[in-house]
Amino acid sequence: MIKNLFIIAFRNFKKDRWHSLLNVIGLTIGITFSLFLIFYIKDELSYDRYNEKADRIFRVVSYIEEKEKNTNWAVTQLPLGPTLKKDFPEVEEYVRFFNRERTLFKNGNNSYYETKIYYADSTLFNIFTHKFIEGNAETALNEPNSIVISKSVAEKYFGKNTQAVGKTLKTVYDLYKVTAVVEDVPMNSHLRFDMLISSSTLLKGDQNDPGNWGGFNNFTYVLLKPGTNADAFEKKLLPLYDKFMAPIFAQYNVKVHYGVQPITEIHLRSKLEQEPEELGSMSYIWIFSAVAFFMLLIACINYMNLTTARSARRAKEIAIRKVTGSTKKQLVLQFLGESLFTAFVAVLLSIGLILLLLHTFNSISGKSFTLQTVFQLSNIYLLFGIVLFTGLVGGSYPAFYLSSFKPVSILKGSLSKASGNVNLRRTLVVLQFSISMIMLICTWVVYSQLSYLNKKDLGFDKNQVMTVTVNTGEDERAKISSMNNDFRSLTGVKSVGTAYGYPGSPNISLNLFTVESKNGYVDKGIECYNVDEHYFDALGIKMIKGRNFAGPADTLHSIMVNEAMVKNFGWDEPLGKRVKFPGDTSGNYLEVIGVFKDFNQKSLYNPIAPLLLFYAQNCNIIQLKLDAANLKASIGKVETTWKKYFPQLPFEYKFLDEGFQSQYVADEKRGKIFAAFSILTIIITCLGLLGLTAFTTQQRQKEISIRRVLGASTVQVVSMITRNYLWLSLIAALIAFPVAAYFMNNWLHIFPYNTGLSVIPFIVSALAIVITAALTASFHSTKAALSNPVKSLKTE
Amino acid sequence: MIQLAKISKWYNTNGTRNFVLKDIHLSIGEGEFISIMGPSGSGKSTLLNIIGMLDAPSEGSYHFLGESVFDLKEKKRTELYKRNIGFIFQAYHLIDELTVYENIETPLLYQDVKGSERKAMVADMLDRFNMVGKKDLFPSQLSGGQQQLVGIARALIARPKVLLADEPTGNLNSRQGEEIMELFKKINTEDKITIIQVTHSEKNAEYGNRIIDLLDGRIQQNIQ
Repeated sequence: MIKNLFIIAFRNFKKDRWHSLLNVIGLTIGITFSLFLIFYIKDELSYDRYNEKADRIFRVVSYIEEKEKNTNWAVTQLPLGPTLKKDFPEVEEYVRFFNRERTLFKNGNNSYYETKIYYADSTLFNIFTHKFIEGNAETALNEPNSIVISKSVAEKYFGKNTQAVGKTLKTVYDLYKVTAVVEDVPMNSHLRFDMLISSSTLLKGDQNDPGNWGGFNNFTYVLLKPGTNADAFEKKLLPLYDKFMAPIFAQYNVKVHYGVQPITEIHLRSKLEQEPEELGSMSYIWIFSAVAFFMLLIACINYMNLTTARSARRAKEIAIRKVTGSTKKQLVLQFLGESLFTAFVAVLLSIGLILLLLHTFNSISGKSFTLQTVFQLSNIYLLFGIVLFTGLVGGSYPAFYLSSFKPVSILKGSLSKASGNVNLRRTLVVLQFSISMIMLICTWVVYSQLSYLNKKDLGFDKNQVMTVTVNTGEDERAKISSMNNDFRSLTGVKSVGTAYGYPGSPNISLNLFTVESKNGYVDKGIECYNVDEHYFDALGIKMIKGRNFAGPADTLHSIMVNEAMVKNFGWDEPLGKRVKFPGDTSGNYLEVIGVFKDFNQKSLYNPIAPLLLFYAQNCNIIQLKLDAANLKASIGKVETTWKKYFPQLPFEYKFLDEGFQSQYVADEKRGKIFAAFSILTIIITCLGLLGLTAFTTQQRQKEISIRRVLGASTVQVVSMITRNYLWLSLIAALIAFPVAAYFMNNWLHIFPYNTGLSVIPFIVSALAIVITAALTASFHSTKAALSNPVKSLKTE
Repeated sequence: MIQLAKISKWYNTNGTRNFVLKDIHLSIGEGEFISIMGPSGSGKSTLLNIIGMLDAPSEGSYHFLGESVFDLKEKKRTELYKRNIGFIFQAYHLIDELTVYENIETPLLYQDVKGSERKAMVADMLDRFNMVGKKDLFPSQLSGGQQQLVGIARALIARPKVLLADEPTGNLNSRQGEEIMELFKKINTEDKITIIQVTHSEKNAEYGNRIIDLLDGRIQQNIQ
């Protein structure tokens, strides 16, 4: 029996190659790309779950309330961890991570800059799960100057298959002893390190200074005892403010309370500042899940439409099977079997396609999926799940529809009566059109917003500004000064400025200032850093009022502010306005000497905030404005000069535009994924439409022939068939527009600077779908209209 | 074995009943060879389809081997049908995608006959109809007469008690038609299979032992 069904399925497949191919291709595309999305989603959802105690590990974070704004930090204070363990019985263990700045490490002639370095407490390995290749988890981080490195770092410095434990790594100041090598931290970890240095290296002497409760520097994780209620624990932390922090913060009206986050939720749900890695977003998970689901659904709808389109050809077989004794159930099973088989073939092809496109997908999505991730056990189940889903969903309608044919009427030749549910198929088409339109509109809006961000005037000139950082850990100001003079003498270098920050630089400090305003002095946290007098020139930042810094004389008293600051404090005449450090009773003050034009210090996700710049000479972050011509030669010359002064440091540079752009990488990635998928959705929809028009024209072949005999022209016949689909796409537009508008409106609100919704994407997307639909639909109807009417009438 | 009582079939058009069959009383015994005749539209095929359980009457009762057919559950009815009735069509209605062998085999698949037994039964049938050499051909590679032979073989393979034939020779030339009729006669007398055929041809009707003449849905004559 099974064999017989296979034979029939296979021969039908062969006989109707074009249709079968359309069927399989549609399904394959749908399955392949929804699988990619599912992999992506699964990966996003898997963050930090590899930790054996993941369900008990929590991160404690700080919510800081000021009068005007709230700041939520992923970091907490130094004494918090030990206090939690001491005072709260539900805390089994704690660990703190202290971020270390980019540092040059050396082993003999092997020297590299490392960026992912943390000081960590020795308790780390009791909480987090890391695979040890060498060394001992119990003791690895006990001694000062112990360092635990990842496998790839070990290979980088010491070579493959050589023991690293016991060897040493040097920085400019210090010597670190390698105590353990661990497997690289999985990509799906919200905190990834290449090196861990024992916290005892950093924390020397007495740590019980109550002032330590004022500084937010480190990540604190706790391992709660089994059965602890995290919400209740979070509430129990409230009194810590009064006990430890009020003495420091109460005078400034700053309140602090803690939040407790399950680590498995950090990647997708946390919305804090100072996160160690780029975060994902739950809303994208929902969007991508919806896209994956709809993609599969559209592919299934295609299968339904294409299969029912072929029903006329199968009708006779069905009737004969019924006459020879088949029950309806057996026929339903037969057709479900066929669709399962088709789905199975499509899944096999999808696997091939996935392997082929894995690399491309990785580069678009920023993931690093490998063959192992693709073929892990849970994905095999997933594949079977997809075979079942597509097979059953796609096969259900055809199966029940086909098997309910009345054999008597079919065998008598009145086939066209078995036309099935026209309204259902129309609904399905409208659904497909709507989804395609929504995706097209969204892609368009996302793209125009991102390109708007790229082109927006940031208030500074980000092009050809090269940033190099001197980072030896020593005072290099003298060398920097003479090196900068050498830089200035190079042709191709237009301007050289130095600063302790730059637009887009991370970790700009937010300090509390007492600022003169209309209502007397007020306290406010303001972002600030030091720059020299060439900084504005190098970055092309314009002056609005007053003067630029003039030299070392400006070091102690002068500050420059941006327009947002002027506006924030309602200064009519900003020049001469005073700013003090809170609590400073010495009578010293800072005075505003100049106002510069607003520029986007942070990404365009943030509105421009008040910014205050101090003066400092020869800072370690150097900005070089280069000539656009001969850029490569100029970089070479800069490098030669650099090597003269800092032969021990590798020459590493960054261009400001790249750095600034990198802030949108996440959205750009998702935008690209979205664009790719909206195009695919449209392709699949068109494939389906092709099948559907085949169905309609086949059904109406006799009508078409009679009309032709009666004198209808080809154009008239084609437009008769196509007109239907135009109506359907109009209905689809009515559904798609509000949905897309709703989602895109929400999305655009992430950006303080956005394009707003315009009607153009809506109208053009709808037109695009209408035209594609019309063209696709006319393909078959033209063929039908051109065929010899007498022939089809004879066979009726 | 077949008792039809007060069978009527009608269609409603604009509120009036259009009768296809009206008050048919018919009793058919085992081993009979019956020809149903009548002009186009007289209800011959409808009657045959009702007997074959492919169609249901609007009114009346039908007993097959003592069972009241239309009171049975669908599953039971299919069971009764597939064990006892074989159908032959004017247009042969073979499955185009299956070979001669596979076409003949199909009814057995629906009766859960074991593989080896199936093989033997199909081989036997092929032998009997002299089609061993053609077993791997597809219907489109056969002449009309040969296709109808396959159709008959398929109808007989499950050893039905009744063979229903709807103008079995309608698409054949007269020589092929005669051969088929001779075959029917042989099946009827040697295998004791009851045959009910619908036909236009007086000559074919003569092969049977009873002729039922239909006109406008009523039995006009019942000639023994």
